[in-house]
Amino acid sequence: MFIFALRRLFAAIPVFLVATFAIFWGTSEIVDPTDRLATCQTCSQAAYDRIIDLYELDKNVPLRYASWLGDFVTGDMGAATSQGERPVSEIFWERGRNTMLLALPAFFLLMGLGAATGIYSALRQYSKGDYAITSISYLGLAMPTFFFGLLLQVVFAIWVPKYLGVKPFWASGMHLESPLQFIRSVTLPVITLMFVLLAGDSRFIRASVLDIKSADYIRTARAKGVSERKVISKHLFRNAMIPAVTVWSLDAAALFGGSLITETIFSWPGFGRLAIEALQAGDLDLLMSISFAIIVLVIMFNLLADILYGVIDPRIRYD
Amino acid sequence: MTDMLDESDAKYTQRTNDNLTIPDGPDIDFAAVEGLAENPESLGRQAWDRFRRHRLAIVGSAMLVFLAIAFWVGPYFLDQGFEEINVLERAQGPSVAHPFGTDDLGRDLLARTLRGGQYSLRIAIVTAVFSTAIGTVFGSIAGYFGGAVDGAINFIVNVLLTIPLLLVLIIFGRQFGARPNTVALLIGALAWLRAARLVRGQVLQLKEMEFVQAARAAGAKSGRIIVRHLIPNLVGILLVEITLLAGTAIILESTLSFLGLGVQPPDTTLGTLIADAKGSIDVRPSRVLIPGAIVTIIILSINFIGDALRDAVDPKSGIE
Amino acid sequence: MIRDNKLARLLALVFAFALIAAACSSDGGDDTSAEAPEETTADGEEEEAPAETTTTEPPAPDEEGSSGGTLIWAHEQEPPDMHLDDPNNGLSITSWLRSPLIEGLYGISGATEYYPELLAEEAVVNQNEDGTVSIDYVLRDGLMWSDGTPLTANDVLYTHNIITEGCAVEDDGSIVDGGAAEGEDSTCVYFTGGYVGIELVTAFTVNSDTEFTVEMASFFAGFKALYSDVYAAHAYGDDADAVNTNLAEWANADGVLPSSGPMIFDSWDRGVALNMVRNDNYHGSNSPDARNDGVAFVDGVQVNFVADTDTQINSLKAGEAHIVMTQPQLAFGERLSSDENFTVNSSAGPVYEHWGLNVLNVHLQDPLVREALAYGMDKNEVMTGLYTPLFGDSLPAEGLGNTMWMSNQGPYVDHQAMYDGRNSEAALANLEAAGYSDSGDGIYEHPERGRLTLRVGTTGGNALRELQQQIIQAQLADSGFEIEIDNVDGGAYFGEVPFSEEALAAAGSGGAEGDPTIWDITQFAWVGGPWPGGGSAAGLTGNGNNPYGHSNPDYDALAPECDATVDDAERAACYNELDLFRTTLEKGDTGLFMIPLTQKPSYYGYLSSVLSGAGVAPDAQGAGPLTNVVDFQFK
Repeated sequence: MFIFALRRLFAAIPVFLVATFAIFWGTSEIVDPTDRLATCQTCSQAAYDRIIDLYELDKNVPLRYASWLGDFVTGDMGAATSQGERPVSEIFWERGRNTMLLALPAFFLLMGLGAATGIYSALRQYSKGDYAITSISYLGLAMPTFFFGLLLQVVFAIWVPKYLGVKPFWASGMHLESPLQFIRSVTLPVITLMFVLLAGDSRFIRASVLDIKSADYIRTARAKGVSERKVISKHLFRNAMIPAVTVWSLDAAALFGGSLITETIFSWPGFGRLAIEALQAGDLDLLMSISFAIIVLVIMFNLLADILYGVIDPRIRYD
Repeated sequence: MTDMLDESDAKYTQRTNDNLTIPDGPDIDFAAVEGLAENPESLGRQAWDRFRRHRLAIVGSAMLVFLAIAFWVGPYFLDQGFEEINVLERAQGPSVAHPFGTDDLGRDLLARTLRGGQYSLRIAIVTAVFSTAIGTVFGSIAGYFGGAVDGAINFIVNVLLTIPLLLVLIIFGRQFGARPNTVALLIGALAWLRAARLVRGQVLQLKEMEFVQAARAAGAKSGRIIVRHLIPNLVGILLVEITLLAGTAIILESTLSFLGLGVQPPDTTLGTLIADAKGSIDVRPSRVLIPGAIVTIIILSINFIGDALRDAVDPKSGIE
Repeated sequence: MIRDNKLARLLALVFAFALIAAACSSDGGDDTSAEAPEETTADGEEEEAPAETTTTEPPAPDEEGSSGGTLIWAHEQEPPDMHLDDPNNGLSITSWLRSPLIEGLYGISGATEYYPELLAEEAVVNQNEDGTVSIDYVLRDGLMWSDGTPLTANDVLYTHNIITEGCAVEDDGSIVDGGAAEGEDSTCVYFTGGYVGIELVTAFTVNSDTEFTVEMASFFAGFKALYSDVYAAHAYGDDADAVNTNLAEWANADGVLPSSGPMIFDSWDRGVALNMVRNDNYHGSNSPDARNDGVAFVDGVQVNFVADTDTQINSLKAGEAHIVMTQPQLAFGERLSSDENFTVNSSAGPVYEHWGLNVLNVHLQDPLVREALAYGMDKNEVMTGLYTPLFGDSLPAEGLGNTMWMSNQGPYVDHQAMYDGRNSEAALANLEAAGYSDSGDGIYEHPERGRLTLRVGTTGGNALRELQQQIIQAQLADSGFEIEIDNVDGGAYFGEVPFSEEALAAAGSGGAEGDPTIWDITQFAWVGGPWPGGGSAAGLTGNGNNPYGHSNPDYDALAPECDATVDDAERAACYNELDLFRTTLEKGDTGLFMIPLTQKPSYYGYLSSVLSGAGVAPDAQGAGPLTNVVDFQFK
């Protein structure tokens, strides 16, 4: 399995290179860092030259990309011009941490709730609970995130004033030291993040449990007189987890990479918002570092899913 | 190892509209369609029977047809065009003259909703058909020829899967401007990955089948085999794919509108209507909720149809 | 294999219908917002307070308010650093954040007039016989930096020196003595604040701690804008490099930079909030608007960076912020004006919105077409539809008729009246005279120039501007014009469209170089001061502020004359004449490259239940809600 992981890792390198180059190239097409000097009436040639120099705009895109990559892999993430030329590495970890504050609770809740609702729906197929869960899932699939997020904000922060003290956004007094404040701040964004993903997860897990329910080995187990509880806990759950692992790894990649809309609406200073700010400000170094992180996350979690597959399901072998 | 790769990758599906990474995740799992090849006609009828028995799919289809008629025919019965500005009647709630109220410029929101519906449906259909077509071409080539071609296409798919979709949409949106067709083509150009995976998997199976082998033995050219023998057998899953993508396209388009990359005024889409009205969500909720509900209904209907189609083309699935 | 239960889906469908039903019925409008009746003395325009509210006249706020508390301002934009003149910066938010920290010789009042801020009285302008001018300034007594150091004329001299001397970049990257002093364009990267006109200064003499004299080569109408920030000689850095670093961080080796304003910079949690605390050594505000002449009432200010405009309003409504200032938009007014817990203030500043025409465009190079455009537009509709509902009578009801005209200034003439009123007959007559004819769908076309389609662009994301574009788009459709809206999100618009290198090259060379097809019509606002000096540059041939491609030697000759006219009335007359070049064809066929729309209002809302009315004074100069921070008071 170790060799398998290594091989996959190596296979991912060209994917990573092409993907980052594509973003670099695309961004260079639409963003010109010298644009911001256009409205600066007294900015001089020196200022202009400085920016040309900073981003090596006198070279062509592949050369610039190579230069960025060289710096990046040697640990130099560059300076963020949209944040007073602070080192990107500093901003990177700070915002990454903030994204995790949303993503981790959302991810674990998602796993728990997705599995719980999916399995419940499948075991109690056609019960009222199943109907309720499925209806909500459909709505989750059909609702744009920004719409749902703003709705939550208006309902829980304005219409029901200060209900349980939830905050409409990253509240100024939010500190990790105060668990209550923290919970109040993350509640709405976490629900928003989770809701859209939950629908798909729940429906998927429901479907796979239903599939397994009618599988031969479950029938066999039942026929052998294995207790229902044991059938469910030992055979059903374990087998239902195999496809769920894929979903969860994809969720993780999506969540940990930051969410653009949710973070914007809830004013959460995380990766997603940073990406769009960097794009709008033409802050190439910052944008590339974020893209790098997201691409690596996706590749890593896909790999992780494949490995977990083998751990859970002994039938799968890696050659 | 390669088999395993396919298994996990084939499950990519468009799902959320928020995260920077490509919204994907497993949703459906296609079983083999081996039966289809042998006797398409009778199986086609069977499929239609199955579809018909999905009453909700019928409701969904009826709903879509109704909405489509309303969107395209409705405007002829309205006094005020979707672009007609009347600032004296701005920002009104629903009334007899304006059943859905008016927007910030006094334009009739019913007329705008109908216009927006036209564009949203158009974007959904163009996107879905366009990206399914790309996916089919790439997928069938990859599956049929295998080897280096397969590897190359696989690589492209992997690259696209890792690139943050919204970021790419924003970059391209800025570059090419936001016209309904560009928006549709943009989304379409990035959403074909799953279709390619699915088609590739199917083609891998189909090409080993007797009728394909026979055609090949008879000296048929590859192109002809793909077009005449393989693609007709893919129609079922492609239809399902189209429905799924159509739903995704509508949600993605509305997200782009939220980011200010929607279609340019005076034209509008349902997503743009929601995005425009989000600021008055607590004082005039109807402005947000009506287009929101219509988007929800369209996506639900599309989902119903998609589910029914899936059952119809998948003989393994039963119908209660 | 996925057996979806029909009932569940039916439920979902029913729910969706229920949404529509709920939407249609629950649309009472105000019933929702009236749910939390926190009793308040309604401020200003909000007079219908609930019955139990004490309906006495709002008492003098100073008596009712108390000291202490932290004022929270939710704002969408976060600056890259605190150095306004950093090429990466230059953002309004930076100047808004600096306004409570640092004062200048003159301030701008709510009525858009200069008042002596650090000065004890108006500066005295002496005209010398050789045409040069010397200006005598007297600083207020008892001025002090927040660290206790006295603020003297030496600080102004230091500011002058650091602006003018540190203005060339050597090969090694250090910033040293430079071009401005030699009368060339400044090569100074970093110091642009209060720069316009400074090249005319020939000598700066300090007479005493409070008195100094500035000699200028000729009179400059905008001289009051000079030294609008005065830096501390003892703390801001010895050379330009140090000052650049210190200003960006707003700190030197010893800590936070001392303030001359009512607040001191405290801390900045990037992406979240910036904090300021009260300056207890503050020498008091000199503003005619100020009701408090001592130190600020509030203990501090927190600026929360809230990314989404709707979220800002939500945060205000949820009580998480006390004051917001967004781009003016209708929803803002609807959601806050209708609620007695909130007060919305607006005022018109010296910033004018206009349509700028690219005279190199194949259609717009024809004066008849430009005139047709002016005829086809109806500013009254823009005003009654958008601005009056939001801003009441704080803006001229008929819109702006003169690009040199600003509120509360001189006898400026409305030149646009002749075009007013959506005169599509006149517009179409013009087009026909120019050889256009109806192409069949109401849009005109020209045998050589083709279909009369013009793109109009602005900074996307500004809701009010976008609505304005749409109104005018509809108006012009009646006059044979097809207007395509082509916006670019945010500030990138300028650099990518009208002020892009290629477009400016075209404008400067009359189309010989560069690319004149990048844009057709642009909509944006020029920021002026109470004195319009410098604003005339936008029409000068080849000037970097002139993207329109306008070129007229008479204008080029007249503009500097106007800027150097000392007498107020004469200068106003001169600027009136200058405006004729810009907005009419009376001065020749090169004219009419600007169509003024309106003054840009500043606009903000606050929680009237928490803040006393004091301090929330009109903010005409667009200096942000913190201009009058010294007056803010909690109830």
